[in-house]
Amino acid sequence: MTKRILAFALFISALAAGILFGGSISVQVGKISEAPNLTVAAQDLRLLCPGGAVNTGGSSGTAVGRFSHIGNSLITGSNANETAVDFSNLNDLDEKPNTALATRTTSGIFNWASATGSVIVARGTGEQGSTMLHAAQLQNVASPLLNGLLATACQAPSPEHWLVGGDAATGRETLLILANPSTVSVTVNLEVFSEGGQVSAAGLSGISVAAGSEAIVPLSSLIPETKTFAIHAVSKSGAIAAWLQQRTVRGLLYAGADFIAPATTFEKNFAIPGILIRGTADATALIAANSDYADLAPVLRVFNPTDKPAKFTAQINGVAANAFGTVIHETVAPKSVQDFQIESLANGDYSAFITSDQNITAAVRLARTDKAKKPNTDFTWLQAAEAFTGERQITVSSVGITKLTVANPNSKPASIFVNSISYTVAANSSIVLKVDNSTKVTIKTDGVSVSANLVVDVNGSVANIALVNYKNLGGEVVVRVR
Amino acid sequence: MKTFVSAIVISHDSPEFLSRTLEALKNQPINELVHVETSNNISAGALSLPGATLAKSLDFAVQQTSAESQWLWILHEDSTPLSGALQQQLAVAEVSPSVAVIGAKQVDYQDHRTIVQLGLTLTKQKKLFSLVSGELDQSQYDAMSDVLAVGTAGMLVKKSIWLELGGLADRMPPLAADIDFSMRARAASHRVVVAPHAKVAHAALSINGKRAKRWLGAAPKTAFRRAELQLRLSWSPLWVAVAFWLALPVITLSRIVWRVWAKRPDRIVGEIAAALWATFTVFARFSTRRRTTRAIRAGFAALSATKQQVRDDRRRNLEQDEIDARLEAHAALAERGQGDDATPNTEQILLSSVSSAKSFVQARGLWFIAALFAFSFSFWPRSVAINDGAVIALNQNWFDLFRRAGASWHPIAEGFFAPSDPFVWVLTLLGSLTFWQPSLAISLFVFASLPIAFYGAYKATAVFTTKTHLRNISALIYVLWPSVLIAQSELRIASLVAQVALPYLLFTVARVALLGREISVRSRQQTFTWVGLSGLLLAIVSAAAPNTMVISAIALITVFIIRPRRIGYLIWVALPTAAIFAPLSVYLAVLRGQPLAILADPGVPLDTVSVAAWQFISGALVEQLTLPTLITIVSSGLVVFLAALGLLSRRFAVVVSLLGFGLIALAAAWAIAQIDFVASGVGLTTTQFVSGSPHALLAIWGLSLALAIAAWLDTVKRRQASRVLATALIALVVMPSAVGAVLSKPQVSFSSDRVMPALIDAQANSGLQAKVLVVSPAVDSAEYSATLVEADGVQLEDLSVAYRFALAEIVAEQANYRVVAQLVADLVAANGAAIDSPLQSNSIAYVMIPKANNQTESNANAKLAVAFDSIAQLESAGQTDFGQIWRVRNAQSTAEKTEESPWSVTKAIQLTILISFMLLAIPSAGRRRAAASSEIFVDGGESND
Repeated sequence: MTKRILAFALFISALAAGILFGGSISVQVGKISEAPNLTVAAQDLRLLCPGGAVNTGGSSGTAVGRFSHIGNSLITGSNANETAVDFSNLNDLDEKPNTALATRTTSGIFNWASATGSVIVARGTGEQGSTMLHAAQLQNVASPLLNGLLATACQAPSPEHWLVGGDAATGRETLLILANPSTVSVTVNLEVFSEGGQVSAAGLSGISVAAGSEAIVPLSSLIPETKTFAIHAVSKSGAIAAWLQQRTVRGLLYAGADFIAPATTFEKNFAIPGILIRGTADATALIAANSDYADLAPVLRVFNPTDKPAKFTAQINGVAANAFGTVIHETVAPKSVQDFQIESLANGDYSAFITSDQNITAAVRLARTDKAKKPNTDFTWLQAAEAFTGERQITVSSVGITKLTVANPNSKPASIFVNSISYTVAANSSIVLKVDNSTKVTIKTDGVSVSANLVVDVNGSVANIALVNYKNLGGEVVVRVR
Repeated sequence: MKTFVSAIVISHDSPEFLSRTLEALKNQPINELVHVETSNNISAGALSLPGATLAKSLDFAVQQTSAESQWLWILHEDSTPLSGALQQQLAVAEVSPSVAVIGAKQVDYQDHRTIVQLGLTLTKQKKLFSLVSGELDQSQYDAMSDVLAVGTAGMLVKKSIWLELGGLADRMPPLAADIDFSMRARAASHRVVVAPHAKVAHAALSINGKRAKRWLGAAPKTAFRRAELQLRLSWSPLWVAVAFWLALPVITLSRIVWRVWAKRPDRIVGEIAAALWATFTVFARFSTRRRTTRAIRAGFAALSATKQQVRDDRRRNLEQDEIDARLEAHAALAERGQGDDATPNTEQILLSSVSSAKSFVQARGLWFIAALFAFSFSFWPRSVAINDGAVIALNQNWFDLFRRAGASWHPIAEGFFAPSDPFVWVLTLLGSLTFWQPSLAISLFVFASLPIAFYGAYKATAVFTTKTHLRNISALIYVLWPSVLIAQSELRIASLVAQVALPYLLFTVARVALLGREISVRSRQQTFTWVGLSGLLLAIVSAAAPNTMVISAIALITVFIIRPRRIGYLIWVALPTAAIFAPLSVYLAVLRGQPLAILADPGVPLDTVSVAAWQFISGALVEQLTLPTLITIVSSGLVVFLAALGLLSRRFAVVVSLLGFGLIALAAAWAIAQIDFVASGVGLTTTQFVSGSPHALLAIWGLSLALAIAAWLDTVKRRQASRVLATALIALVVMPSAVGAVLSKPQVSFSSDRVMPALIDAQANSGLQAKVLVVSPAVDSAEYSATLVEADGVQLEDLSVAYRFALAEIVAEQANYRVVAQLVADLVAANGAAIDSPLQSNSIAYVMIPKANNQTESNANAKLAVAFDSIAQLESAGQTDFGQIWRVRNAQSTAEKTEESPWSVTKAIQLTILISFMLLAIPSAGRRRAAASSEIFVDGGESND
């Protein structure tokens, strides 16, 4: 019997030892085939800009399905040496061709007035990226039907876009602008996500965008009275550009508008730079007086595209020592989007640093309030900024006050150069620099990645421009042949 | 007048027999003795003729006899005349003057009551036939007289006739020479008779293999076949003899098949050796042709063995074989412990009634089978081919599937020379079940896998218990073991095949080794059936889960040690596995220097989730611990605990062996999961490495636990207690496992057996020689993978482990891979580069982006699709079930399609061995009786068909 009990004990011990010490090791057998780095020429770099702000309903604002551009936006950008740039325009929204063309063979900063949306093509043998070509547009609109500062970076066309921002509740209007630069019409399918998950609605698929044109989709017709949402636009048979345009109406006052650029960052750790809070006292007073002003408070919108709940922590950190931030620790359900009020922020400069257990994205709605002006409010949607190393360039518009925010979402300090001046950005913090109008800003970083954007203020109206590194596939391509 | 008899003794270095023979001769009325020794050891009074054949020795001896000698009495040193033998033969000679040759009744050397030979003849098919062999001498043959021939041991022959006929023909094989001599005597109108009262004790050293091989010129079995061939060539009409010689290869091949079918693989070497001998010594064979007339042949025919004699002999041999098998079984079982009450006794064995258990049907097994079919309802084939997991369709043509099995050349990539996966043999076998649509067999197998595994486990538990309720429960524990269910739900087809075959393998090996509570001892032929089945099952398990080979080897060696007497059977079990793995092993281990690659899973590389060590013990390798998973894990834990309790039972030795073996398998499972095998190869898999699949090893662990539970609960004698325990097992283990499995219903899809879009498949069927470039983007890096596939796509049998492990070197060596890579780079960049030339030189007619498995992949594909849309040379052909395709405008197939023969020496060997084992595996008792028709010289395990 002793032998049996001993054997029993040994067996159990062997299993216990296996559980305790059976870790995980990795032994590789065989080697994968070497994937050669092949050099290929990239396609010409092509950027699309949305053009002037879009008005709905004609001059009366009530004509259903009628869209038109309001004035021109000013495209400002820069191209590198030995890069020729062609400027052309998309058709107008009523399908009339816009025949304005130009070709630029010199380098440096350029400006181009765009009413109907423009296509900028850079031809050259240099390495593609923002240093070869970058462009963004800015328009300060003051009209009976739309007021506000609208700005956005121009886009390289892509077959899919994720758009996080906007509001389709009463008094808020959000338009989806789809631009097709190709010579064939494309079909776009939409997926809409709200607080309750993915939305099923008629008209989300089969949206046709004619060649060389824009298509406008009013989201209120797809998701009426939806305050919080995110849009996924996927095109077939061609690449497109996509933006949201939101305008706000408070009673009869058109008080704020903005272009919302697509999200480019789905990460577990990222930053949203440029939360430059101003006019807090005025905003608080307006909110207290009228609930329709509730959206003047900054809001963090978090979108979780994954199949699992995303637990995230958002630290809103002030740039200056006396600007105290706040922390949001919440969970977002799978395939849904949710708004979180950012409370208790005093006037000051902030950036949001977000960590999550899933790959998510986020945006911050930043309002600007000045009771003394009319319209008294404007807003902009700051997107999660792509973290980058190396060199990025962006050109500052000729109007307004522009501030560059550089945020470091990492756990160690980042050393950067802005126009050759050295700065150190501490971990999980940011710096804000005022940049001169009509100048090209070059940001360099080595080793530790940073995120950045520009926030523009024109007479109390606010907008933002993301730093985008435009690049078609080219240069070194890795192909593994089996 | 007294007859003058010269006794001639031919000896060859067997002094112990010679002395007895010489002593016995002293009591025989011989007139002189001529003793010729053919070895180098000279004995006193012997004439030395070292190295001489029997014919030459006899010639020499006859020359030494006196001139007055009338009769020659030929003896070998191992044929000792019994008292009065010569007198009896002379008495026959005295009354029958026409008798020229008189044979003696040859009796067993030790047991003089047993007749081993009393005259020889031929069957209608000219096979050697002993008229009497192995029968108790009850004077039942004492009236025999004329026979066709007699052996030389104890042959009394007239000297004048001997000289007239020229004695034995030296060019004849030794075992044909005496028959040939007798037939010549008969052809010369002399009588050849036996003297039943004259007895010679014959040890038959030559045919029992106790003499030097030189004496017979070959091994005994070969010597018999040589004798048959020679007699056929010598005594048939010329045209028959020539036709027979020309057809000898076909005849030999047929006989080999028949030998295997008759479960006599030990005769194959003799058949081949004798056929080669007859083929390559054709002139010598025809030089001993005898002239016969129709009358002579008619006379011979009258003395041939009758059908009744052949039938009787066949029955006798069968009975003897059965008795021998049972005695052998008893000897093996005697090695068990005396106290093991499970051991059948001798009486049971001899009566072949060792099993008192209920049959499967009586044990309500069919109900469980029905329940398991219902349980697998979600796998009911809704179309031809089951998809997802590690399953893709098989070739639509069974013959193409067969071409790939064992082939050394593969029509993949640029054409690839290497051994194919052994698993392709399994697929071919499986596909044979529905040969008109081989993929359907895979679908049906997945659906029926649990019931099949249940029956196998039921049979396997017979090794440890005869209680049917325990066998049912243990079998259920096995089929509901998580690794089995995971293999089914994740469609890990190779692993599933291995896990289904495992219990059958255990059962058949136990049968071969005479292990277990129920044993089968019907005959040696039946044992060879188990050997055949075991060999095939081991090959199937090893081919489907190569990582089980080490465990299988350990198990076989253990059985060798436990049953050393059965090693003669067990040694053959590994042959099919060795045959199908040898080429691939040499290729991977020697030519590629990657011996561990042999352990890589065949088929579609499928990663195994990385889990904590405790999950290995439960067999549930799942990433998310959902409710069904937790239920299953708790049940598995109970199984482990219950099995461990068996260590405290009376069957400690059995349980400790099972659990010890299970622990080895468990450790191996953990180890194999830590190995990452290169996965990138032909096909659509873009994963670079996958971990080894431990599911089959975990199934061994699960089976060990189930059997351990069966073994220790078998010791519970009280029926009430046994029932309570069984009920508890069902409630605590079986039911929760079943519930857990039901709650986690898998999602499987079915489709036609196409693996390419209909557009391309249709063109492939109409003879399109061009290829399809499949491009996949990596979702998390700017990397692309591409592969060139034939228009008919990549089927399951196309996947090659050898290619996976050779790819890195092939890519580095072959320039065209870089051409294709550059082509893909230009395509994905859509930069307008000149791509016409590489498209044409590689005969690319279509470009395809495979269907995405998730949204992330879909997004990456969409970006790539935009690039392809903008390329002038490509024309979008739409979205298909397999992905998005583009037609190459003005595609031209310029490359010559290289199609090497799939046949090779290795494939021929593998096929021969596999077919042989299949023939062995098919029970053929009835036919075996027919096959053993002409047994002769049956002593010493030597039968003579």
